[in-house]
Amino acid sequence: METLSWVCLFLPLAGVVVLALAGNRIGREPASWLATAIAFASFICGAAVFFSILGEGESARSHVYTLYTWAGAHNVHVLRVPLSIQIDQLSVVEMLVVSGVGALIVMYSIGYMHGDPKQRRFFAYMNLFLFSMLLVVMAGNFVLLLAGWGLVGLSSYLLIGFWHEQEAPVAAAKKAFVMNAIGDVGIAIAIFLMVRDFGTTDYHEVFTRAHDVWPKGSANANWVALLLLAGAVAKSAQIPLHTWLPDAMEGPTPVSALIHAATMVTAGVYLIARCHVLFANAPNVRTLVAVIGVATLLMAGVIALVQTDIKRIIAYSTMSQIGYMFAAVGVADDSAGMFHLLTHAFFKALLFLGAGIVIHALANEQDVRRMGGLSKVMPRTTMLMWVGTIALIGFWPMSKDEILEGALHGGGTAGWIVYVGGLVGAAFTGIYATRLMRLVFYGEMSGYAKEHLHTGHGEAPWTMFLPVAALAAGAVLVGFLSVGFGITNFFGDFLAQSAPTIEATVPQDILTTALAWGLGGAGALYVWRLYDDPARVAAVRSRFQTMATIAEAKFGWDELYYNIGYRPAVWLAVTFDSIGERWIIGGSLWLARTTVATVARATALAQSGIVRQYVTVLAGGAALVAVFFLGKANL
Amino acid sequence: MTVALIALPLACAALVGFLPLGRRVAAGLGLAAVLAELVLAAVAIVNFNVGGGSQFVTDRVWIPNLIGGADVHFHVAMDGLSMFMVALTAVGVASAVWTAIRAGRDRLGLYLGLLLLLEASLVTLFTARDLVLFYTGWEVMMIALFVLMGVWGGERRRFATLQFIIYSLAGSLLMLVAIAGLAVEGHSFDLGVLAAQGRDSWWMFGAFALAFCIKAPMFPLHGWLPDAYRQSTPEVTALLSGVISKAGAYGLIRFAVPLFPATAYHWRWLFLGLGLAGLLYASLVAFRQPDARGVVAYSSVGQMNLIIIGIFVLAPGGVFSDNGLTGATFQMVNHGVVSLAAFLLIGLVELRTGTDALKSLGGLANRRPVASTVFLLAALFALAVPGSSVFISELYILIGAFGEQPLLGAAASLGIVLAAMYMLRWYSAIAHEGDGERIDAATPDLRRSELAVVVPLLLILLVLSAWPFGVMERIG
Repeated sequence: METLSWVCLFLPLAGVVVLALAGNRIGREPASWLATAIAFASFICGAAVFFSILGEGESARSHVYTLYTWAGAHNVHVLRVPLSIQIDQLSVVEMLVVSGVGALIVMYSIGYMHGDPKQRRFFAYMNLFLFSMLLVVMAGNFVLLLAGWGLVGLSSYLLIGFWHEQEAPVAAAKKAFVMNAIGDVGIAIAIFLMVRDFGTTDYHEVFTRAHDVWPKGSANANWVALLLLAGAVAKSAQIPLHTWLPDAMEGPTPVSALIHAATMVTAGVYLIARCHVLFANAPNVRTLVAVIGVATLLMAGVIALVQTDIKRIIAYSTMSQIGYMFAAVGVADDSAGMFHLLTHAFFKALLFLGAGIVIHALANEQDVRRMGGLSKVMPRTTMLMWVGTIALIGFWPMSKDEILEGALHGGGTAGWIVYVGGLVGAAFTGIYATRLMRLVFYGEMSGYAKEHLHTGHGEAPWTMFLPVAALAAGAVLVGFLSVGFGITNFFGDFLAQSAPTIEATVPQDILTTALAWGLGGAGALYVWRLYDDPARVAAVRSRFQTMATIAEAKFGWDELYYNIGYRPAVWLAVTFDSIGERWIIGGSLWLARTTVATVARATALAQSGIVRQYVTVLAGGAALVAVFFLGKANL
Repeated sequence: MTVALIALPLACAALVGFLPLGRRVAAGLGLAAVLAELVLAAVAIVNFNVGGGSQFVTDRVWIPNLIGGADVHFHVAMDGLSMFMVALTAVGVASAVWTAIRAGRDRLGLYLGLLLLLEASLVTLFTARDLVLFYTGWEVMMIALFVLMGVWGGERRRFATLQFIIYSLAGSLLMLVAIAGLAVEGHSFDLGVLAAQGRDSWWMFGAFALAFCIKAPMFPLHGWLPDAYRQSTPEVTALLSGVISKAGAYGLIRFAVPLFPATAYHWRWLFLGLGLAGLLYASLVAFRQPDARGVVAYSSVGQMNLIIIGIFVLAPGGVFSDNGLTGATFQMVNHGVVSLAAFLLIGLVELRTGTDALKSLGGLANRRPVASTVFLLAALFALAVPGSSVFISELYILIGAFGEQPLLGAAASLGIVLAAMYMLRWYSAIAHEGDGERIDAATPDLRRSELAVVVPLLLILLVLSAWPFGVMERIG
């Protein structure tokens, strides 16, 4: 199992090295298939690790493997960072999601990126991402976690800005990197605290001693949780570090599916679940996690209602769904949060890839108002998209109900906030998800769509279609892992030791499920009917004019950061550059002038001001000194 | 071993610099010399005994009874720090010599001779265990630099050199006085003997620290740097930023703090405060520079100030912080190699476009896959991407700083975000979007002969990233 784990982790990195060294000596198609094969091989290793863990006793499922000492010194007071991985239930679930969904999306990319001049580079970056993401979920200490954390940020930067000939992707990529760097600093400072108080950042050591070293609710306990939370919100696009995610849609669609839906953006949820000991130790911060989750799920749900770009609708939906996961881990129901992470990975990747097929067929058009009526020409895509939409609204799999359920049973005020906010969010979800389907696949086909639609050989090449179908099947099947109502709870049972589950005192509450289904369904039906008549859409819009304007302005976060972050920083930089540097350099020039003038006055010989002469004099002086020394020397 | 590392470049400097050799012969001999030096440095690393302290020692009386009854010794030795600084010097000068030959500098023989003299002086000062010997290396280094900067380089080079000379002399003359003072009081020039006496003298410490902090440079003593980095040839700028700045940091670690531990401890907050101010200040200024050299120049100031923070995280009695010093010394190696790569790459851009003004550049990554990747890697190392060796060294410095004072560590961490901002701006301005006015479809990708110098530098960084422990356990 140890070897398999290392192979699972390092295979994608090997892929990067091979693709980078091969350059254009390898064809575009073979390069794409190589990257895909590597992703699948990595998945197979992950699956093998999963089955060996299943075969072990329930109490012996956590393993730490060390390859070598990565950083440190012989001096025992210097922090030692082993290259170590922790394999347990939590990491193996993530390994399967990352490599499995990852492999399908890499395969999809073969068709999607076909003919791009930088196709090979794209696949190298995808493999780099897989390695980095596996490092995040497998790392056995916080320094390695941070390394992976930063490397997924790097991959994200490279892939968002993949089409760097244009301005928008480059700007979006930089924004994503810098906002994530802010989160990285949070984790880095948390590491400083750990090193100061524990002398190590190994998970095992930190988690077992956390209660003793940092008493529950103490300042340090709160600080460390808060700092980790900063990293989590940046990576998972939660308030207040969420504004990079919609812009990240500038990247190719498979990237949006893999990085900005299925895996990387949910890393914050993984981090909080992984560090549940530290968050349990800081109840106030944990409540903050829940509040952030609810606020984000509501805000993103509202913004999604008014978006017109198909990818941005799904992006805000992602933000909103991750809000649900944060809400779950914020009320200490890690297993519900992780289950939603798992189902979301399938159905959101499915929705993105389905949208990608549509975008591909419409010559890269992303505006839903220029689509319409596509169900007639793309029946299979429509069907698969419905699977994703039903999952998103929360009919099946029932991961969202589980979160609400857990919140209700789990805890006090935070629980009620999550419960009510989550139900309201369910209605929003029903509305925006159905609106997308309604606008893209039904109604009249737009003039643009009629003109540009090209579905030459079926709806998409099989390399694109197969992964989407597989994701749809996955989305349906994972639902059975945790049905609730006393039927199945495989997932919660499996995770129980490494991610706490709130044991429902009664079998799943039928009322919660009914409410969630009812609200989601009502929203869906409402919007479905609404778009029958454009006049009514306009009427509803004008009734909610203020709200719509705020939603379209994305609640003003970009402007806020521009004014309180970017502009002051630039102002400082400009001031330092123009005033500070002028004084420092000006001062040195003044010093230079006065010195030269003084020296020149004192020694008329040297007043030529020619540098070469000064240098000659200096060299001569040095030579004299050397002769003097040599004269005294006994060599 | 150590003597050979000094003698080889010194002898070749004399041959290449003064004999009337043809350009080709001079180039061949110069290249052979720096490659042989690289091999010697590699042999030293391989034979280095981990945990064995100072090694490869040579100690002879050079000038008996100079002043105060103190003998000057030719005393050289290498511990881990010295060895890696020597290796960095060998790598830096080798890449500079190769670049100079490719660029076909005027009076090539003299130019290469000066570079070799610079190498000999740097190896001397990095290995000297005698204050006079160290000072000799320090001054010869300056003189070689004055000539390299003042004779070759940009239009305003004389002006830049003059500033550099004034700053440098101000520092080093005071240091000379302090050395004399030490000899009179301590009756020795030997580092070990003097350090064991552990003197507390604010003016001697100040004189040493001033010379080193000008060279590093510590904020706000960096006034000489922007012009010097802009006006020198790319390879001299690369050496200034990559290697010579490290001589300043090395001096602090080897001389200023150990000779005056109590004084250094007493004044540590002056250095920590200025280091922090310099890190944030220079990082912000870097973000606004209009030229590629300017960005990396100020980035270099920022990084050197971070290293100074790592050095001055001192415990009572002037004891270095374990994590802080390990990080600082490792960062000296990392930053050295990164700066070499960055400035040499800028030189390659200038060769193609005749400018390093960011507004005239852009689009280098289009259709030029090799340049795209190589510039990207350099930028990523420069911004300390997590997982890289640079990330590790910065992390250790910050851990040390946080241990001294949490606010210091937290504030210095902001440098990570600022570094991402200015390096991504740098990379995008050169590589991204449409072709800039000085770049077009005919602008060539990097050539093999150019990669011969850049790729090894990046490979060193990749190897260090895979196994930082390899350097860290030896350098501490």
